[in-house]
Amino acid sequence: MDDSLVIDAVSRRFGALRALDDVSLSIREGEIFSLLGPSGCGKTTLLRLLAGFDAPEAGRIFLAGKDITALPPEHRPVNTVFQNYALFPHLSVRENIAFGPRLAGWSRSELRTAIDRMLALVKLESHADCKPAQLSGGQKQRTALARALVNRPRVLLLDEPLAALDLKLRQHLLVELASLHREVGTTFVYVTHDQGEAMSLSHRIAVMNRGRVEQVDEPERLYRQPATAFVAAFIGNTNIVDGRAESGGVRLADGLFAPLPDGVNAASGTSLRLSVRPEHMRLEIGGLEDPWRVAEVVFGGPHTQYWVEGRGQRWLIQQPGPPAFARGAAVQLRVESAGVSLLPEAGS
Amino acid sequence: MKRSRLPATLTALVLLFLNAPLAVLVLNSFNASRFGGTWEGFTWQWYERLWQADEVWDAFLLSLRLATATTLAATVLGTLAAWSLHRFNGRLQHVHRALIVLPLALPELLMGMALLSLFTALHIPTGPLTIWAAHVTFCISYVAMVVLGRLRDFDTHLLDAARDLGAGPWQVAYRVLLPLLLPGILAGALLAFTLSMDDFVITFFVSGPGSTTLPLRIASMMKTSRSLPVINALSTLLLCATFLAAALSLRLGRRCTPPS
Repeated sequence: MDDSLVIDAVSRRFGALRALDDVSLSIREGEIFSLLGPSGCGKTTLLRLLAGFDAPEAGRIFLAGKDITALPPEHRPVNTVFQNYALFPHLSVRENIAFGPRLAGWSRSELRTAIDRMLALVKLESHADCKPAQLSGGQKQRTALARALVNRPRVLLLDEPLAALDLKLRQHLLVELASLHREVGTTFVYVTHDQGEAMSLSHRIAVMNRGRVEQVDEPERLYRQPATAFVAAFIGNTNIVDGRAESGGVRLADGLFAPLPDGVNAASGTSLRLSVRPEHMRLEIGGLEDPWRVAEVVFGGPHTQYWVEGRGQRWLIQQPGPPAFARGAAVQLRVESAGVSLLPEAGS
Repeated sequence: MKRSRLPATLTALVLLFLNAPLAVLVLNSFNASRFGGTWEGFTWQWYERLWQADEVWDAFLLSLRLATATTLAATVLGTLAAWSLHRFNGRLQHVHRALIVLPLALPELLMGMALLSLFTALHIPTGPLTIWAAHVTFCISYVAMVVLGRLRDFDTHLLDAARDLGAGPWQVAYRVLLPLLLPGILAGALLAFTLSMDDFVITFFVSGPGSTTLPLRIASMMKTSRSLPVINALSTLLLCATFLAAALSLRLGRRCTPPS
């Protein structure tokens, strides 16, 4: 697979704020690549640089080997689905989709075929002559997708395209987006603050924080092997704990023993920071001599979350099924190696 | 609970207060009495007199030409002013804003005197051209304010979207910005036309010989009671034209709102 979009050491400041600080990424042809992070992490700034609405102070952006850093948005083979869709309110769905092709000077017949194909692709044939104000949120979103895709962009940028919709519709459209991508095969760059969206849709994710890229990886590896404490905490829930290496594992500050996963080794005695996933901890009935007490029980449907406290440490533990322990119950804890990953100790 | 009659009564009184003068004016235009104090029978004679009053029609045509020219210039300049006020954030923008608002706040008397002093100082003879310049000066402000109001609701992402889809700066203005601002621009233009058509105070200062606009002509006719009923007839006709225009713009406005 080729690298389609290459971002090389890009920086952008707004006054004293470093919105993007020396960011480098390379995005492959045809993949769904997510920029994931909390608000203010720089993901939207980066998207605006890719679309051409803004220019970096340093660094370059290449598309298919060509430097596009200084190219204005109208000359980039890149199209955007905006967060609020930004559909033209004075134009119908059909005219909205035709906006780009008309400017590009397509012939009448070419235009009609392409628009009909797009309308079919996003299932809006029956709404072709509606104005945006008459559409539901999901229909607006699909119109925005069609309006961008009809231009056959090399890269489609999506700026939190589902943020304005309710949960059920969001889950539904996520599936539609994935199947749409399989059909058109265009490179998608998807900006979101929602780790669930990013995890379920993306081939690869760049987790961003304070203008920097913390880690770029496939969703599963991001979850299993987070490179930093920020990534571990941002992708799903986790317990971040300190300990000291001994043979076969780590003795944590509160006396609990955490086995290290296969292939991960640490010299005995070195101090370490770990991420322990809540679903890889086991709760068992304990006695009064055990230090652990259940502080909080949160029923979550298919699973139950427990907050367990003891020896100055607070653990989040997730078990399948309904609550099996009541608040105040004495328990024993066990850590499974599959949920453990090593974090760099400094800087977090 | 019994509903109070006060709001209905109050509304009726206010409407009466606002519209009674107009009703009296319309009635008097058909009144055979010259002074309009008592009803002396129905007549068309004031309308016939008006039809023959060339000086009134000359004034009317001059006003119409001035208002059209004023509307054209003020709409373009006012829209551009609104756009630059909305779009750019310079250090001088608050000065710009103040200068735009100033003519709205300034007493017309002062503005008229100021314009006259300027034209005299520059040795520009007063006439249709100076009236036009004066009208454009204050109409810009009204147009800018109306368009600015429309711009506040404008989603600037639409401009990004247009560029993203391949539109250059001019195409963005022509295909997205203008169509969406059009209702505001038209409203501003209508306002400018009306203001120019009936301005008296400022026009009084900057008009010269041979440039008598309709309001000036009416004022001079008021001095002689002989022509008072003719003015009533003229006013009635203007009233009808205004109602027609208002009805038309309402209908146009309705057509623009999307059916839901």
